[in-house]
Amino acid sequence: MFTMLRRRPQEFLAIDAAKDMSLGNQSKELSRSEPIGVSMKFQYGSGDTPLDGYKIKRGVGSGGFGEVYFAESDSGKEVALKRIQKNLEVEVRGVRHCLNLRHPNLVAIYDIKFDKIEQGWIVMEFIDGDSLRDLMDKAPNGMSANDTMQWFAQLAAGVAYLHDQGIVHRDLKPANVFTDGGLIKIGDYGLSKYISASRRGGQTESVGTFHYMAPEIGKGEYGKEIDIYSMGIILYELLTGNVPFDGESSQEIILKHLTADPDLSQVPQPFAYVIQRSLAKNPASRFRDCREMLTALGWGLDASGLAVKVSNAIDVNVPPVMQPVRVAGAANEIPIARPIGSFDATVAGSPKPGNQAAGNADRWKYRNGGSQAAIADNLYREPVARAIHQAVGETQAFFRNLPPGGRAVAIVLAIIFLVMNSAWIAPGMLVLLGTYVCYYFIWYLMGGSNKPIPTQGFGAQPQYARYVPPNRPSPAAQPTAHYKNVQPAAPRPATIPRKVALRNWQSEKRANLKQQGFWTRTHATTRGWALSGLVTAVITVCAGMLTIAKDEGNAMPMVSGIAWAGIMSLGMTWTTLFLTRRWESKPEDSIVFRFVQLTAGVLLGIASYSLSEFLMVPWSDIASTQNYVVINDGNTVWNKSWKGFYDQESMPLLAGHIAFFGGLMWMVRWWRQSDVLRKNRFSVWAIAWSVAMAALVQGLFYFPAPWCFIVAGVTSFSLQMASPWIDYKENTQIA
Amino acid sequence: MSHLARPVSSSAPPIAMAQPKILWIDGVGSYAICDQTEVSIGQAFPGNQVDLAIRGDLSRRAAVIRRHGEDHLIQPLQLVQVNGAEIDRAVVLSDGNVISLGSRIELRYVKPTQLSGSARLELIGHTRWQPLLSAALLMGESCVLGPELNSHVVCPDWTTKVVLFRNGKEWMCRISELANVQIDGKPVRAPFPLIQGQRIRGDEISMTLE
Repeated sequence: MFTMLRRRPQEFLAIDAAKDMSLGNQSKELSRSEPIGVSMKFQYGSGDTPLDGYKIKRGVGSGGFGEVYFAESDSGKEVALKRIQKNLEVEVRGVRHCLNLRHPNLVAIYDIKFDKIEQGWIVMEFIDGDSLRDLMDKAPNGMSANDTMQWFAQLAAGVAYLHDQGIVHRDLKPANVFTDGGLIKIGDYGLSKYISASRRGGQTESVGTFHYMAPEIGKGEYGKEIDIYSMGIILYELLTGNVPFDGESSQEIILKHLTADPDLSQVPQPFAYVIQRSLAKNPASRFRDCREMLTALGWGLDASGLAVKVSNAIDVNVPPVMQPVRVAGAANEIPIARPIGSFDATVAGSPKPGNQAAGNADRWKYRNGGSQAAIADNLYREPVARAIHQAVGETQAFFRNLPPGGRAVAIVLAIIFLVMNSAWIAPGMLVLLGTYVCYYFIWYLMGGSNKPIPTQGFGAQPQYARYVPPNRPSPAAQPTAHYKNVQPAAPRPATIPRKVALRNWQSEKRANLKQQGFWTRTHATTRGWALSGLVTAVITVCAGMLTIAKDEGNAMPMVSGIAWAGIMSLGMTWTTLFLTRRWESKPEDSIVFRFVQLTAGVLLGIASYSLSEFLMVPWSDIASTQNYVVINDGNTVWNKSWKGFYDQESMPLLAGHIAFFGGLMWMVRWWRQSDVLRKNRFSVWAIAWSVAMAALVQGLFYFPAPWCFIVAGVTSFSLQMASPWIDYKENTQIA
Repeated sequence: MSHLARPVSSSAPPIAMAQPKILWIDGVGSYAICDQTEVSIGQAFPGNQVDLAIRGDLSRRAAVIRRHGEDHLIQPLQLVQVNGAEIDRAVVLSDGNVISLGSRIELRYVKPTQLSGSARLELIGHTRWQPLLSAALLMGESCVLGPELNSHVVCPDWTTKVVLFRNGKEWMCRISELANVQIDGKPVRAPFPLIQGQRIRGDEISMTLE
């Protein structure tokens, strides 16, 4: 058994859920030390004739679904006999539905027969060849692009035929795909093999590998999108030798299916694009059907439903669509891969430092092209750099869209702005740069460059209890009208992914988030607190050090201001993190949330007043603007209504602090910046917006000027840095 | 099924043998046990009396492989090439040799270990044996079935190995005690004779000699 385990580490068999246990417990039962899959125990041996007219020669394989034998009919026809051991009626119904399917890429089913003791047998075509699983085991580092395409195109042709017949396979995996003298044959269609962890699920036994299962299976959705998803996984495995989402336990794998993104750094185009789109978490964002998937790879189906190459999208010897990138090469010489289709892949940039550090001179790497954002995503794993890159790109686009006169005005304004403000821009940039270098160092040390965008802090558990009879194709599985519109052999450029509303995705995910337990939420909160504390501390310390270095001997007023700003930013960040973790599973109720924030803001204002009293912050010395000064000498009294907010030395009083923090907490929807389902991991615009809102509040209440902006900006920065995030790939990918 | 009635081992000359003895191994495959001194290879069609029949474009009797001590010699009866070179007389085969029969049939001669005179004959490409075989075993004095890649029959899912060895006219079977082998449902102590029609079953081993 152990050798077999070594050969097939990816496969889990979930057998016997008679004990009523949750999937979480079950995952322990499914550890790799379990004997799995093929046991060499067969009920019948060579020469037995349990079924009239067939003589069994040998056992071929067995699993939870039944035993498979190689047999010969009395007249010498070689067949495979599959004995249905469980759920006879259901299986027979499912297989009967598929009895008359005919396609070269499907294992043919000849008949269903019953023996004398009413056992059901499926009489099938015998495949004298390896399964794709066996082939992959022989190629642990993946196959060549040509071989991959040979297998994958036929697989897609077979699945396309099934889908055209209104049948969803539901269990596509390499172990179910066989090779027969260069021909791919898909087996086990029509059989119901579903994960069923509960005895209430209708099935008492379940078999399946989690590695190829689409995330929505947990919700009981069995559309043909799940086959597209499985094919994406298989394609990835063919190319790399590994499944994209692997883990020690089934739960870990499922979680990755739900949240993680495949690492496509080793995958050439156009495969990377096809995999990425096939593995979209949202079924609606995947390829509509196999034809579309094949088209994106430069293949198609001919009139008889066989896979044919229609364009030279993949030519491994001379790749026209992808230029390999030598990682060890000079940074500026790296060409950008241009994927097929109409993507904009013209953004140049330097490779991320982590990549170079891990550079292997002999290793070809392909740039994961696709869209601008996807390139940025790959170049800059580090979120801040990526966000800045993205913001610059957006600004460029905005600038390009301006009329020529507008551009001139914008340039002139920018120059004037720079000249007028050079006094603070230069040191400001210096501080930012220093902060960023410190931050990058910490981020790098924490292994940030090696791991994909983190998506932890999300513990939804899918329920695999729903059972769907195999012969009832879901509505999505029915052949639809657009199939007929496809001209199989005509080359067609890859279509641009459809944009799926972020809002829909968010509401869907939010429902999942509800399932988080108290401790998961608490963990996410404390983790966020720790991270934001770190970020704020780094910024504060850097700013403090620079100030001390700059104003030697006379730095105390500034340092106390910086300390105040740091602590208040941290207070706001922690408050928001605490609130957001409690709100993120609820639909957004803006006015209520704002009100709660306002209340928190009042408390923060009290804290701020106490803090500035404790630190003895000399506001009048360190504020850049004096317009908050309330003149009480009777002559030039203006803005008298705020009199109670400031004292004679124009120090903000308790009411001033409360007004500012209350106002800021009311104006900015902070929870959105901390939301795990927010659009971008890190948005420069969110910071800009926060600062703008702070300016508005400052305009109302005249709180000491640069400090109120600093608090808002730093809060926004550390909030976004510290909040967990689930990537909505489609959304970021579609430029 | 007259061949079932034949005595277990027949080192007698290959006359009137329509079918070879086949070892059916569950979960692994089917292997022809060729323990004669001379094994003839030819085209599969009804009534053709060869030891190993191949479905394909070749002569009724294309070649004979003769065991000579620890070696195997191939005697061409039609156009036969070994590693691309046409042969006109018997030559000694060595591990990895590719034998071409006619224009389209290719066989690989695999001798996984020099410790045994046994070898494996595999078909390359789309042609197949008749009856369907995974490979033919040209039996020397002993033959190993096990998980290691240098076994004569590689059984990847096994943890133990089975050794077949000649004892006079019959073949004996040696299996570790741990395999809990039973024959036709009764526990048996190894080594035991390999008899046609008996079903050998252990914890992970399951096979029948037909």
